[in-house]
Amino acid sequence: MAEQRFWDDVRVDDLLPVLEKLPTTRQLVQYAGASGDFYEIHYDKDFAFNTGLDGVIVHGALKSAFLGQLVTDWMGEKGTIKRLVVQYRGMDVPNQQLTCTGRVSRKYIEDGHHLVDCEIWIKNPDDKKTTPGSATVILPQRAR
Amino acid sequence: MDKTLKLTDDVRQSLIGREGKAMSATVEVGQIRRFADAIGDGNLLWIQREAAENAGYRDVMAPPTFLRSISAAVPSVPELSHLTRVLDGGSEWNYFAPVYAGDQIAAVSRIANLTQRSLSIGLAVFATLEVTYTNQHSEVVAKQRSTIIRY
Repeated sequence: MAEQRFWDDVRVDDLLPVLEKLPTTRQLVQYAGASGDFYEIHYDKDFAFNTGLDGVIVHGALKSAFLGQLVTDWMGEKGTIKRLVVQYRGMDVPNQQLTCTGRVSRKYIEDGHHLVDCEIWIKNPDDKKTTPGSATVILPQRAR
Repeated sequence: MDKTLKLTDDVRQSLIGREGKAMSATVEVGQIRRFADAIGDGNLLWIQREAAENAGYRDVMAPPTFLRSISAAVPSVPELSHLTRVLDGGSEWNYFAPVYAGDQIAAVSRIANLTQRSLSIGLAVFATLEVTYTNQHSEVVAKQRSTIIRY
């Protein structure tokens, strides 16, 4: 399990450790089953062609889940996620490496909570940000 | 199929605020584990009760986007049935309390907004769907706003 992150140690512009994902068609089917999203563009090539796509595409919500993992891995088990925003700007296809990462954009205290905002994103193998977003987490403070 | 149909103000106003039927489900630990496995997330908080308890939580927890699997009945929109293609534009989650294995979660979806835009793929309707998830203690645990593009 990832180590605990403390608010005291975070600096604006810190980068979140990269999380690499390689979704396969098998994973898309697995995600369809686990999430209950059975829209055929994610596993039926003929159906995808007929809607004008070049083939099946990765569920946007699966990419959100990857970015959720990026954030929860980074914050550690005593962190709390407050907000996760993800935009699907570009489609991603299976069997291509997706690089999930982010950067700390703000560190502040609000209503007694020690908060950190991050910009997060997924890049495809062409280095294009297909899936930008942001997240807000509450982090614990070091004992003093 | 009339793909040029405009989203008239009347139709728009009648759709905004429309709710889907409330759906309720018990979060099963096996369902959380299957979801974590499907997204490839090995965080023990989503898998082992002991790990969750050692971290100060009362049971196995749900990962951030797990609530996607608690399906909310989408409001029915026969007015847009001529737009048969659907794309997911994105999601915005706000979290208010953790979701644990054993929780009873009710999900209600509501059309929060509708706009019409011209895209390269043709005329499209952007719907903002807001899903509110409430647990057995009547606590709102999360809200999800997603953008659904129909064209």
